[in-house]
Order: sequence, then C-alpha cells, then structure tokens
Amino acid sequence: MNTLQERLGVVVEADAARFSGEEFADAWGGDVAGRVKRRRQVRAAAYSGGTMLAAGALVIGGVKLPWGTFAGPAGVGGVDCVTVTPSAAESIVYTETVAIEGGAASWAIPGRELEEATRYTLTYPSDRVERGVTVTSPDGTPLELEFDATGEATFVGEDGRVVVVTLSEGENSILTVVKSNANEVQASPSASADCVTPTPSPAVSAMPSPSPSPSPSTSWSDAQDVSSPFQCGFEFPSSVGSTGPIAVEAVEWFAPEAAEERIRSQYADPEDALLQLSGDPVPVLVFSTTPSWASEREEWILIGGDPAVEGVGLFGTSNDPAATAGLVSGVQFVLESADKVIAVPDFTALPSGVASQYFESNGRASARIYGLDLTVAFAACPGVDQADLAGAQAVAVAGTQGFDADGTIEGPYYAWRFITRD
Amino acid sequence: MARWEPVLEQVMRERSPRLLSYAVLLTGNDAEAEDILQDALVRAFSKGRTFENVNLAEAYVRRAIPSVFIDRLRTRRAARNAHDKQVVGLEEAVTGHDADGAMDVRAALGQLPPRERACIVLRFYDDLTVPQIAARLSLAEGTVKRYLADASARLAVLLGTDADWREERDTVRVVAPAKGGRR
Repeated sequence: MNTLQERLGVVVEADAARFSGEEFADAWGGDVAGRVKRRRQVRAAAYSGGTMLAAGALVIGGVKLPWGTFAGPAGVGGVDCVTVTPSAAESIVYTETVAIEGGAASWAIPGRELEEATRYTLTYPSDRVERGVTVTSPDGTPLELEFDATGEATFVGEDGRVVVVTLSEGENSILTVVKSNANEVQASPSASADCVTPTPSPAVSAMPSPSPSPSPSTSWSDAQDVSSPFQCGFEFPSSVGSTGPIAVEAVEWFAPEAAEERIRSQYADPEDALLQLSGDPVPVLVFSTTPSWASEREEWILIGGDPAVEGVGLFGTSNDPAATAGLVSGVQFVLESADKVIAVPDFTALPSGVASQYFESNGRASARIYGLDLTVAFAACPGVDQADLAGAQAVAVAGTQGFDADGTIEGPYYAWRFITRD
Repeated sequence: MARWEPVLEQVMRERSPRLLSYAVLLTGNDAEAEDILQDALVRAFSKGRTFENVNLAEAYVRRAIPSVFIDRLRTRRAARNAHDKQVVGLEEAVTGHDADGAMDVRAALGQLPPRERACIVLRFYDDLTVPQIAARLSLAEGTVKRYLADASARLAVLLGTDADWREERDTVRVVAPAKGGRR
C-alpha cells in the first residue's frame, strides 16, 4: 500500500512525462514575457505612489522594517525649507537620515517590494569624505557616487526610482531621499532662497523635506486640472457618489484582531511578521463593479492606483498595435476636508497601511483594502500641513476604466464614499 | 534583455512539465492547467524579484499555482470557465484506469469540489499544515479543516482507504492501493 502522498507523486510524474517544456515555451513564452513586461513597466511608472496588484496582497502599512522605521513622505530628520512643486512633493517616497558613528555608516534602501533582493546598500567609509560612498545594487554591482558642490549625489535605481544622497555639513549624518520615478529627477527638492515657510528647523541643514506653502488656502485644484478623486484637490460633490457604473458599496469596520486575521490569511510569506496594527478599529473598503460593466474583460485591480493613469500601460490605446481588451479598476483611501482631497496615501514608499484584495464569486468583481493606521498612512497634499490630517475625514475612492482591443477607452468612472463610523 | 527574462525562459523550457502536472492535480484538465501556469509565471515574475537561479524561480511559480487556481475560482468568469472545464475534466478523468492507478487518483480528485481538491493537494502532496494551507489559499483554518475532513472521507470511499488528514506530517494520512482498482 502506498500513501496518498506517494500516489499523488506518481500522478505528477506520469503527467510530467506527457508535457513538453519546449512546446509550452514556444506556445506561450512570448505572451507570458509580454505580460510580465507590461506589469513591470506599470510598476516602474507608478504614479504618485500608486502601486499595482493584479492579485494577492500588498503591504502598505505602518510597519517596522528590518532596516529601520519608514519615515513618511513628509520627511524626517532636519526640516529646512525647500521649494516644493506638486510633483516633487508627490515624488518623495522614502527618506532616511543615517548617523555616522565611529566615522562610518552603512545602510540599505528598501526597494518597492519587501524583499531583500530589491534593496540597495550604501556604504560610507570614514576616511574618504565625499568620496567613497558606494551604492551596491541588488545584484551586487557597486557604484561609487559622485557628489556635487552642494554635497548631493543622485542615481537612478534599476526600478526607476531616483535616489538622492546628501552629506550633511557639520553634522555626522547622511540623508537619503528616494523618489518615485526618474521622470521627476528635475523636480528634486533643493534648498531655495524663495522658500518662505517659517518652519523651525533643527540644526541639521540642507535636508530636503517638503514644507507647507505659506497659505493653506492655496488651492491645488486651482493649479491644475483635477478630475479624479485619487488626486489632491478633487472636490467631492457629495459624501457618497459616482460618475458612472461603479460604486463603493460599503465601508466596513473591523476590530484589529479581525482585520489582522483576515490580512494574515492573505500572507504566506515571511514578511507576515512585519505586520503591526495600531490597535484601533480598521476601516475596510469594499468595492464592486456592476456585472454589466465587468463583462468578459480581463480584470485588473490597482491597489492605490488610478486606472486612468495606469491602465494605459496595461492595455494600450488606439495608437498601440498591441492594445488588448481589459478592465482596470483602482481602489484607494484619501483624506478630505471641506469636501476636498487633502491627503493621499503613499503606497510605493514603504508602508503605512495594509491593503488586501481579492475577487468575490458572488456575481460581482470586488476588492477589499484595509486602512490600518490612517494617521500615518497619508502624505499631506501641497498647501496642507501634515498636522492638520489628524481630524480629517477618510474617504474610500474607486475608479474603473475599460479598454477594447481596438484601443478604444471607456471611462474612467469614479466612485467614493466618506467613511463614517456608527 | 532584462535579467529575469532568461530565467523565465529557462523555467518554461525546463520546469514547465512538472509545473503543469502539478497544476493538473488541481484542475483536472490540461487546458486549465496551462492557463493557470501562465498566470502563475506572470505573477511570480512581475514582482520585481531577482531570481538567483531557476530552482528559486520554479519554487515561486509552484507556490503561486494554488493561489492562482483559487483566485480564478473567485472570479465570476473564471468560476464559470472552471466549472465548464471541470465538468469536462471530470468526464475525462472517470473514463478509465491506467496501469499504475494514477487514473484512479485523478478520477477521485476530479470528483472533489475545487477548493477541497486544492486543500487535499496542498495537505498530502505539498505536505503543508492546516494553517499553511489556510494562508496559502486565503481561507480560514476552520474552513480548511472542513474541506479536508469532507474530502478525506470522500477519498476514503472512492479509493477504498482510511484517510486521516489530522495526522502529523511524516505519518500516514491516506492509505490507498498502489496499483489498479479499488480494494
């Protein structure tokens, strides 16, 4: 007699002999590689903190990481004023100030994923000031950084993010700023004589960090066309609504233990251990699309991503001969005040909440994301003081956009629901 | 060429037969298994990982297969397709016996609901514990236990075996004849 385990092994061996790897690769290799490329391109071009997931789960939350505590995009360390453009403010996804102790410092920059392989390592030897700071890429390739006259060196990581390393003058510390993508390198924050924010500053100088504008009344929406509730400055016409055939049907509140149980059930990787909940009730966004809208299209969900921004990268436009049919939906939390979006989460940075999504089989495509700690998950929009976020109203927002094989785009449509507790 | 591309190519050319056969355990038919393997490959290689070798990449892909299988069941469309294919797969599976009894096992698996089948495969083939299965499939542990209990009982009847999914790993869980026919 054999165990079922052994018999299953026999079945697998027997079946394996029936298949040809060469045939599989020839038949599907190009398609699989193309899908991987598109997804990676979307990741590399993630808009202002949007991170894409097609399935599974994503840690975006208040998490202590092995390499240190994530400091939100509002910046940590010294706060001197800098000129902040909207794009620059959105682009900063990670900052860390490292003390030079004993004349040396060594630290790692986390990648987009919570994986060792995506981290860069910086080393700073004590005897070579402004020379010899070396960055080592995940594949082990070293690169010696060259600093300019201001003590700043910049390089672009293989994931497309810009890393700015600043040597502090007179202080035994180094600041690392990671920005969301290479396209924004010109918007790198720098000390500016035009900066008028009277923010008190610690002794550390030349530490770039976004600062609030002089007048909170300065409207983001005045400065650019805002059409999506995923964007700073979007004005909600009502507390619950939509612009098309989608809806945020409900927002549930889970006890921390219940949320943790559900979240952990989605994780089977070692980083599970990084999950830390604040102990407060957790809002959970439940998003769904209507059956007619979902139709037969390939469906994608973007956690924290605006489908109008990221969907094109997945399915293409009428100008793209490789355009394919699909449906891209995005879900996100934002904060509002006076019916206007004043803060958005930073998903690409390391984490400040936990998101999880999956499809239900009850006749509707749906997703859930968990906002674990709303007080640390958000970055203030330009013109908004981070301190003002404490009393802000959280809003669940969703969007969806359809793509036809001929490149025709339908939508985007948006929906939102203010999160209130009974 | 990006660094991941040669690894992806190698996985597909060298490891896909075993990965496909593993997926067939879950799906009961080749076409669905091919779809699932493609999705699992995309999922494993899209996350910016830098695979150091093909073995590691294969492990990630293999790990993704049950998740993809379950996720597809959760979608309306996939559920419909899976049901259709499942019916076909079941018909294919119950049409005969092969010399080593593999068809019996396939036929028996084919008569289990998809989630029960996935739990059985992860428990008895992958040697995972109930909590590990629950995490892998995004199911509650109680649900996994119920699936395993129901499926084990059914397999015991179909294969003429005693089945105990609660045994510790490295002990006998289901006893079945090695070759041909039912006892």
